[in-house]
Amino acid sequence: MSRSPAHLAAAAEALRALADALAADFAGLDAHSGPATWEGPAASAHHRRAEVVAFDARVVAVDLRGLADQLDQRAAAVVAAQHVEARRHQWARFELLAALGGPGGESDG
Amino acid sequence: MADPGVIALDPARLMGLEAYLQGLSDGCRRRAGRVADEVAGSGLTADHTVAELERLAAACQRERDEVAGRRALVAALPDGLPLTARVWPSAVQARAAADALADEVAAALAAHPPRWTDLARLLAELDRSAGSGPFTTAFFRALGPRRSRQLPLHLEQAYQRAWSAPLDADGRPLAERPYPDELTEVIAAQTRLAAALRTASRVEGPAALSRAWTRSYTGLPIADGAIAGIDAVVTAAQRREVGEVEEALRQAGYGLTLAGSVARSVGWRRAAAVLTVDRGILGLVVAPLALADGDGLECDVPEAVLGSVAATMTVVGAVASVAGAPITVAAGVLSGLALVFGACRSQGERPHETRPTYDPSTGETRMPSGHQSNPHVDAAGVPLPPGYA
Repeated sequence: MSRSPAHLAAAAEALRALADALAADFAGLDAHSGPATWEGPAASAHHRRAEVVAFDARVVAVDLRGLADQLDQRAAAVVAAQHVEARRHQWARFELLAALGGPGGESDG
Repeated sequence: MADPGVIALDPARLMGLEAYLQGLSDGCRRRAGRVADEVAGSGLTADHTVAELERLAAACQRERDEVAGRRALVAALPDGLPLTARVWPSAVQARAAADALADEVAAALAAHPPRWTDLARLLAELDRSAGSGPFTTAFFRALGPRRSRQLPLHLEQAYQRAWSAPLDADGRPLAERPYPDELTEVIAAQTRLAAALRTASRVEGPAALSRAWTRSYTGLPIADGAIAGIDAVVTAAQRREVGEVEEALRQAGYGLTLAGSVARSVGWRRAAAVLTVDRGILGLVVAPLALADGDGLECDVPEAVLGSVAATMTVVGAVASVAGAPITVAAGVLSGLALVFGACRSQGERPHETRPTYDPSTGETRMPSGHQSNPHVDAAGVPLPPGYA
């Protein structure tokens, strides 16, 4: 079932919130694993891996924001399609009324 | 036993790191589900992002398990293992840590009396950075020349206070002081300090130990310009002694400034030096009275101290030439420092003398430190209080 523009926009906002939370969570990794916590070869190796993981998390956050933008575009496209459909429907109604000679149609004089 | 690959850790903080990594892993899994739900039915696909989140979750879980495993390995290690050397990522961090350590040492020395356990713990911490020039210079500068010189003696005294004499069957102590073979701990601590000073003395440039620091440390409050003049008027034997000691200290790895200053201090009978097996400067005991005005050569090193200086000279020569000497030297090191200091203290009221004294045999008047005509002042120009150490 296709989703309404409002649903799509809400989903986009939810994804942006997820991206922000993800970036914020991983930003604290350095502070938790610094030299005050531990030192040595194992700590150094951990720091290197943690840097990679934190970088990957930032990439995922960017992906999520891109996905949210796509949802916004999809919502805007649905709104535009609905608008065109409404105008087409209204125009068809005018044509029908004109053919019937009803209100808004041509008069017999 | 597997190598834990850990030099130091804070167990509470490491457990915090484990919990943090677990939280990251759980959060990534939860968010992967949320993303799939939010995108469902939109006509878009989030498979790649969901897969990346799940991969992140797995990576965080692996790191958490790795950290927990390392902590378990460290927890299984027996107590009392020596700590390995610390590597400082930058000179700024090294200096900040050195300042903090010097403050702790100063606080431990200010205790009445200083406790052996505190000093030994702090010296072990210093030893971990004894190879770092920025750390050691910052440490000794922050600690100050006077406290730096007194520290080996405080170590010795604190150890003796903490020592418990063995008792005989009637509960009476069998010895008044520790036996030489019981002194390995304090000698090791003093040797660590000597190694750190050796490193600091080799640092050059703006971060080096200043000449004022070195002069105060060696008890030679003489301006650079005056040294050449004094060198010119001392006896040939003293000049030779100064040269020999300076060369020995340079060969032992000391920087030129400190080696020269210590050599002159000893050669001019201004101080008695006690050296380690490898000719590290274990301690200096500075004469109670400064060089007198005028010729700058007269000093008040007591005869007993002179004897110790002679012994020190023997030590320097022996270590330089005899392969089997170090064991003998190691046994004599502690008694050397204690004897020299004891000799100074046994000079009655002289440590507290603040008035000029007249020597009828020579017709000379000697000025104690603190006297306005006495140049025995610290780097700031303030007269040093009378005392031997």
